[in-house]
Amino acid sequence: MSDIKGLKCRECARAYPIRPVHVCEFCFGPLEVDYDYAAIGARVTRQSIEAGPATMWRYRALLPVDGEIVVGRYCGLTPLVEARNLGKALGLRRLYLKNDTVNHPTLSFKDRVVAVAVNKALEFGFPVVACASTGNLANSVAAHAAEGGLTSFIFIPADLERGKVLGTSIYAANVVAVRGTYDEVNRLCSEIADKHGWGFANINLRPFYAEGSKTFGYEIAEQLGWRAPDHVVVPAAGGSLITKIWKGLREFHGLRLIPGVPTRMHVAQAAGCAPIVTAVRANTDLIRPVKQPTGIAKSLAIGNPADGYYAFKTVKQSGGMGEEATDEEIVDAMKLLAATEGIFAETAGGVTLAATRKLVQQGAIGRDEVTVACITGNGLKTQEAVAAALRPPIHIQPTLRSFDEILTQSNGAGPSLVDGKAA
Amino acid sequence: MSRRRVHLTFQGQLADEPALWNMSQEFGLVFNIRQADLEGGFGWVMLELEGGDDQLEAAVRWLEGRGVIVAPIEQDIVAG
Repeated sequence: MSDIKGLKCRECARAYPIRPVHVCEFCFGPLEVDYDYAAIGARVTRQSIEAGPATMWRYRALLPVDGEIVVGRYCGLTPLVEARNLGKALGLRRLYLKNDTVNHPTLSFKDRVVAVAVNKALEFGFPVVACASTGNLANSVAAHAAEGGLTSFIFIPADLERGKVLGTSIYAANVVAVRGTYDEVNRLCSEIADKHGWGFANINLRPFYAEGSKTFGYEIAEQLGWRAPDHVVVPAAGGSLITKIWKGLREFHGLRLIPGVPTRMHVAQAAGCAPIVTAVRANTDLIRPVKQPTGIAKSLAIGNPADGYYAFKTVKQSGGMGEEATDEEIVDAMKLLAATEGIFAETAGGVTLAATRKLVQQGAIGRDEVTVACITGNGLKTQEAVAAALRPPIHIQPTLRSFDEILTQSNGAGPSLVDGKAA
Repeated sequence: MSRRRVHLTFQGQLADEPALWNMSQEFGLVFNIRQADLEGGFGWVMLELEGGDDQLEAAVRWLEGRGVIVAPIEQDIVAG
């Protein structure tokens, strides 16, 4: 049973009971779950957490789910990879990758937030869950709805490539393609959420949904041996993840589970859509929306980020920085990660690592400092982003001689068979 | 009568004209500002609009025609 007082407005602190609402009626500020930390602190210890399941639900005292965990029971506790090879390539001795490419069930960090949201939807008695998404969120909502026996509606822009829809349709979701501009799709979904009273993952379930991201931070701290890292580099779309990792680390400190939070939170975005990084660099909390995001990092293409202001505050309060990456830098970083650590990340992972590389080059991250790069999704979902940058197979005849010839070429002036490896 | 909660981003428009007052006169809408942060004509406003459905739609298009970014109060909902 969670020790939750209710919901509270992040702006005016007005209190609300637990129900599926997300905006303060008075100031329109976002609502957030309000915990009774004294009660939680009285019963949560490192030992009690370690005795919990090998999933993110070991932290359920700090998550807003009251009843039985019905869906997403295997989510989280993904590997914190000690990335020695990649660290060497980037000039870092203590680099770790929080690897949500292998998160259960749909291979992205979105499973954390959706698992909380759909369990909450079941508690509220919603027969339908929904979201508007072009990728990871859609996959995850559809999968969790299927597991929970709920109907799901997924809204997508009509021009979305068919390949992107398959990973959602397979879960028997109702996929609705909306003909219209991005802004029109956006507004329609808000109106549908208002009218039909369904559980919309990132609308009326948002206060609960967003809390799932804290587990990313909890796991980092526990897996580092109950300490916070010196740096975390986080990719940003709507900006929620970086704020919740920071919140998770600070909650752990408040509960005396870790000794302190010296962590600098750095935000990473693609050059084609970097409203938060732009604000961080300009040192202004006025986020200028990007009307038409461009580039290959589609999962981060949020031009008008709901949590941009809070992401900005997190970066500034923690002493972090912002960095962006071009498409070429993103692809290079994805290839480097795969070639050095055997991890195939989606484009957001490339953004994170390209930004990390720049922060190291600038001296913002020191060689011996403990650094965690957040790898939030699996590259198998966005193969088209790197397809053109990879060498095609080498064709040979079915003879030893034919194979030996290409080996000889490789050792001589021909193309290297270890192309892409870190030097 | 319907109500709609919107997030508007102005990119200089407020420096030159009283855009919200003009909108309310043009379409017979009542607006109620709940939060705003503006600096030199740039910034955002969260407000509630009240009026007929057709007038609300027309007002949104009118604002967009003036370069104002009109989003629901949740801002970008379509996630990756």
